[in-house]
Amino acid sequence: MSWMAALDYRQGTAHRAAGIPCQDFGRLVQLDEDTIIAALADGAGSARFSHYGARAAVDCALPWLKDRLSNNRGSRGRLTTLSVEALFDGLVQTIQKELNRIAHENRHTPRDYACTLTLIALSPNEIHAAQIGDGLVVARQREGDYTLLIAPDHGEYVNETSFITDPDAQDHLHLSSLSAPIRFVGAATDGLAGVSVDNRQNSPHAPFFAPMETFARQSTSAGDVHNGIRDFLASQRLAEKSTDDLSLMLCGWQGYGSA
Amino acid sequence: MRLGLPEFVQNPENRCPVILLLDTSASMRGEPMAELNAGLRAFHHQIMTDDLASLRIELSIIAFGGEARMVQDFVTMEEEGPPHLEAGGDTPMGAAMDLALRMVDARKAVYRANGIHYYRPWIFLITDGAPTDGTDWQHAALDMQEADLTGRATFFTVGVQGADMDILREIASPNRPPLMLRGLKFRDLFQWLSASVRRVSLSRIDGERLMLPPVTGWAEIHP
Repeated sequence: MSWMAALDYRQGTAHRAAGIPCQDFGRLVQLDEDTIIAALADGAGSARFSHYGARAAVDCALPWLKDRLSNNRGSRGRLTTLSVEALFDGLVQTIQKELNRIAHENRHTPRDYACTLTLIALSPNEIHAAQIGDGLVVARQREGDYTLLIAPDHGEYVNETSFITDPDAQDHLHLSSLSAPIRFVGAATDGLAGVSVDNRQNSPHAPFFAPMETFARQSTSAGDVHNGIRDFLASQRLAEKSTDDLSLMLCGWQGYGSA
Repeated sequence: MRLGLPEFVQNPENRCPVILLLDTSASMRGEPMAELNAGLRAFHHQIMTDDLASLRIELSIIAFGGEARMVQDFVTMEEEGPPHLEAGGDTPMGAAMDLALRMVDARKAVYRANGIHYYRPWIFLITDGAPTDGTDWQHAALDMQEADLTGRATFFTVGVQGADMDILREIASPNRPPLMLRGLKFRDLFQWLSASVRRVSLSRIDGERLMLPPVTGWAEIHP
């Protein structure tokens, strides 16, 4: 296997104490040896059914992205023939339509399902990412430092962000891509931003991500990566720093031909 | 293979600024003032019981009795206990609101200069009377309403027995009509305030839709 990759999410201690469901949801799918797609969503604390919204957004986004990729397959190590703009064209409308449908069926408003969404398509030589809200994506090329491919997007106030259900969500869609040999990708919802992103520099904290990369690249199965993420999200150390719901995705490239 | 110990970045704690605009004019003398001071102590105590909230919430107090005066600059609850307020003088409410808006902007500038993330400031006005500073209060009220409507701060108004609720309605943001304190239930009011700001300071919210605890414990419900 060439990528060692996994994703997990966990209810925050504040949510557990207050009886609020886990509003984070995420999923990672390995399409083939080279290609991974993943989505992370974080439901709005103020929306009644945002935990369903997060799940529905992820479950709608991944098949949509898979189709986009398979209909526009790239060659020679490229993910797709499409630019990042073209790849994610229609994303916001697709998710909104689905959430509107669910809201309508249940006689709720779409806003009751408000959530953020971060969507990633990854190959060894390319990553395309899209974000609405305050999720984050960090990547490292073969030679180079950790870069914040997608920075958490909040307005003036740290606890206010954009949601995919916002009428102007399209205006808050952030796209980013990198065409270069990629060794590591990490992604998270805002629960981990405070411990992993340096607010003053607006840059990833390398000593946070370096052990994660080492771990992912040296793991022998995706199950091990998953267990490592799960234990980390459940750790007391982390609970002391963040009481919010937590989601984390790790992808480490091990090279072609490794066992 | 285990995931080692990722080092956490040492970011400054997020801050949640709260300004109390407290009427300390002569009419508050006696029991109202004693209950207001008791309410402040209860507020302090309740925030202190929450580790994270006590790091995040920064409280500033402006008293207006005779003059509008900053009694306490923004500090976290750990840094300083509640001040003891004394009543006296008239009710320069307009000057107090002006001062509050200037302090909000100054505090945001400090946060930005230091890479500190922050929450929407809360300005919480409590009065038992009506403004005595000529027409200044009308300009200040318009500024305050604009600040609330544009998201520069969130503005709450509470009237205590004797307050001119008609004027308070003119001062309050159209988003948030004034509430009338039931009797002298300052302690219940501050308990609600601490629960509300804790909720704001610990979660991510939709800015336009604050979900706060019910005010039924301390506020009169006016039709």
